[in-house]
Amino acid sequence: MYKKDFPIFRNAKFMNKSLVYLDSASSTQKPHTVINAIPYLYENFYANVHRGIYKLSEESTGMYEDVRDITSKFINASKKEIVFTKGTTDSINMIVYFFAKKILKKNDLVILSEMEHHSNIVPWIILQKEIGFNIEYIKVNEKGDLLNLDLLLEHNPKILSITHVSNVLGNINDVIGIVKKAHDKGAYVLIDGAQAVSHMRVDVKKIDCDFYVFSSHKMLGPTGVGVMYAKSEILEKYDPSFSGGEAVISVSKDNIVYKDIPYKFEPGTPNFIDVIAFGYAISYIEKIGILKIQKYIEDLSLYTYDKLINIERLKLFGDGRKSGIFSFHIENIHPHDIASSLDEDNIAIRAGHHCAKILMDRLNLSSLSRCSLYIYNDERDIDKFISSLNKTIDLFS
Amino acid sequence: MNRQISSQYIIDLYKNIKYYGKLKKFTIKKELQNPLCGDIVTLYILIEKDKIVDVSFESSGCMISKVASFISLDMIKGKDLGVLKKIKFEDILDNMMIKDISPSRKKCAYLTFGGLKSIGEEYK
Repeated sequence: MYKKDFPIFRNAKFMNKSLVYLDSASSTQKPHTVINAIPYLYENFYANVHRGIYKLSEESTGMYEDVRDITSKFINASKKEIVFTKGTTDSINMIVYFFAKKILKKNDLVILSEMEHHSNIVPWIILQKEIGFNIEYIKVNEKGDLLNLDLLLEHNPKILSITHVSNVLGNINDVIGIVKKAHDKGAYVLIDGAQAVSHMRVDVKKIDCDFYVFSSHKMLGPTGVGVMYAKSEILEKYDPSFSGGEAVISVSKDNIVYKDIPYKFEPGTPNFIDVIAFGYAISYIEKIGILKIQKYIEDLSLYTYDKLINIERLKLFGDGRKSGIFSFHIENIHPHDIASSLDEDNIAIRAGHHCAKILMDRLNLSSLSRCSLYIYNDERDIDKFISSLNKTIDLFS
Repeated sequence: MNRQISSQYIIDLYKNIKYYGKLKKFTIKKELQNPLCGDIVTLYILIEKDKIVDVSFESSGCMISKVASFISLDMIKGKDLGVLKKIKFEDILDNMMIKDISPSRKKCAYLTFGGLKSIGEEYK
């Protein structure tokens, strides 16, 4: 139904076979409105933001700030709580350095989970080496359940950082419940929303998390743009960990006066053209309606799930029935061979460790195959995928 | 040459892999890891009087990786150590009939070859 809005499906044919793109958890394709916005902006509105006093700069500044407004409404934040970054990884690293580094001391506890993407593990380990705090991981089973959250919370962590939706298992964590429990123990909570925002209504006020981070490129927008939401009182209280031009009101040899939030966290010329194009992506999603998208993905996920569980040698991990993320293993066939074989039918799936080595170790696997859905997929795509998968199984048996 | 990994030729090689397992007696054991996928290949080589007398490998890798281990080891078995300097990656792909395989899959095939080259350097 929505496929016609995405030019890639007209263009990326291979041996006359249409593209079946099932790797949206890695990055989504882009609708023509987002793609066309970029040359349009460069050709008609290009001037640096927040600096010029001439028309062109005021126009680009207006459009850039409009996206902050659109983004804040999209997740029910206030405008000043939205900081544009390079992506989820950048957002998490920023939080680790401007905030976590200031509050963590030796012997403090940070809780992560075994289902985290490397982007929500590596920055913490780097800081741990510097400060010496402890990191405990919430254990995860094959179904994607979080096993010992309550037990770990008994140790009074300072920070809990966890994903909203697992990029491998597809499970949707009960972030409202998790935040409540963590806050009761006095912990700050960061939610990695990279896999969630494009699939469901995210309301940061309702979740009550202290930080929520996500990327544009996983929600139909350009690469190189991300969002760091943080509660305004936190942004106001802490200084940025890196700074420079445009983030400050005045600079003398012995003093810096920062701008108000969120600008003190956005030094230098931002990637404003891509941010504005990201605004087009959110508008595209809002035009369809996020609840309608959620229902569409859920229906297609159930269709996919019913087909996958009927494949005899296939084992599913986690639960992707609501998120459209299905990771699986097929007996005696390496995920790379599955992905390469499907690629010959122009079907794109992901194979590998999905930047989640800790989870792979927990599952005792070196890699998994993953198919992930978005609104441009339809039942025909799933039929082609299943047929190619069955062909691959026959080939290798 | 065939870009497809589903060619009957490579599948047949895969189903008839040789040298799989651990040698009882070996002079070199080398563990290799593909950072792209985390797969691990372990090579075992028995050298006697500068001659490669026996070879074997263990692997958690994919079909391309395993067939490449088999073919690479087959190309050096029974030869003098100098063969490690002479073998070319193109020849391995040629022998597997996958010369035009995609760049990401070439890395799967390269793992054992790269390991043999570094053994060649170490045994100068």
